[in-house]
Amino acid sequence: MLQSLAFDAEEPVPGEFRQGFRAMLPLWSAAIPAALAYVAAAASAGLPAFETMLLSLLVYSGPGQIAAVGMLAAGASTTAVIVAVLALHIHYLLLGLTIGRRVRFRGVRRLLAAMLLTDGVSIVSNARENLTARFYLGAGCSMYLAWNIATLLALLAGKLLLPLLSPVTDLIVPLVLVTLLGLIVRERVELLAASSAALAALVLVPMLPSGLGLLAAALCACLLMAFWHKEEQA
Amino acid sequence: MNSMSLFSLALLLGTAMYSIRISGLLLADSPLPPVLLRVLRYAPVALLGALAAPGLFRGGAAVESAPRLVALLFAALLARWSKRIDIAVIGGLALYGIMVALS
Repeated sequence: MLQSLAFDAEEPVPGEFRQGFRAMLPLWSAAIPAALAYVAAAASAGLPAFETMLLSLLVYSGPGQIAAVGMLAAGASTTAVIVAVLALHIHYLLLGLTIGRRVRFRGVRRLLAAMLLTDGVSIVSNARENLTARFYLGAGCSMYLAWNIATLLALLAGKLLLPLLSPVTDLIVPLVLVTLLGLIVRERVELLAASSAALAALVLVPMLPSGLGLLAAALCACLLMAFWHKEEQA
Repeated sequence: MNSMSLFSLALLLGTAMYSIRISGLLLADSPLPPVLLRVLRYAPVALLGALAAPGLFRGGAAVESAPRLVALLFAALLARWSKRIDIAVIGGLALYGIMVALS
């Protein structure tokens, strides 16, 4: 059914969906440790298995889910969690813009394409010279399956693995966050943005209600960097 | 948080994430102000920095938090070098375990 949804009379290239699906297979291996880290963080925050799985199905973002359960464990409000997760994924707006300018999705395919949008899918799709809707949807379905199967496996293996991880459960969330930082920071200016936000968070988090301090720190750093970037360009 | 509010939170988070995912696709044909694009560019790294910072020093006293800090720094460098989240997380955990065992 997904293949027929991805079909477009203007782009009858055979095997595109399968090629997109296969292109994501190397990233499947990354889903398992990330899912294990998420399940460990969710367990330490007291999240039941059903909700842990539901978050993977609906939110479909390792960093977002780990940040959400970390904030819940720290006692953040629902609003603060939602705003923080949205802010963490604000770049999805840019990813959507990039993909949307290369492929015209219509109707149900656009709705499905939005659900499947992630950093990995966007990077692999953008690397494709002649990107088609079928390739993108194949890649997206592949990663969505990988993430949810990995979460399910991590939940099933949790009874065996989580006791082994219990001495380091409070280290897992910051460890995943700094690892993600190490992966996404490419330029000095981005390192400066992350460092200034970290410093601002150390000052603001103890002063403001949980969650609000984090958002205020990130916003201060964004505005500072946006201003600095403009000055540098001028 | 009870089960019902967790269920509602999952639904709300899913809806919020879907909204941001579809917004880019819907706005693909419209131009955005440059200042907004600059702010958007830094939002993920800034928020990750802010989220990670309080966890860096959770160990309490400087001596207790030193292995944490070293392990986290090592994991970040390993991620940058290997470009792989699994290697970085396992490396950071292993180094932390070794330092705690030796201290």
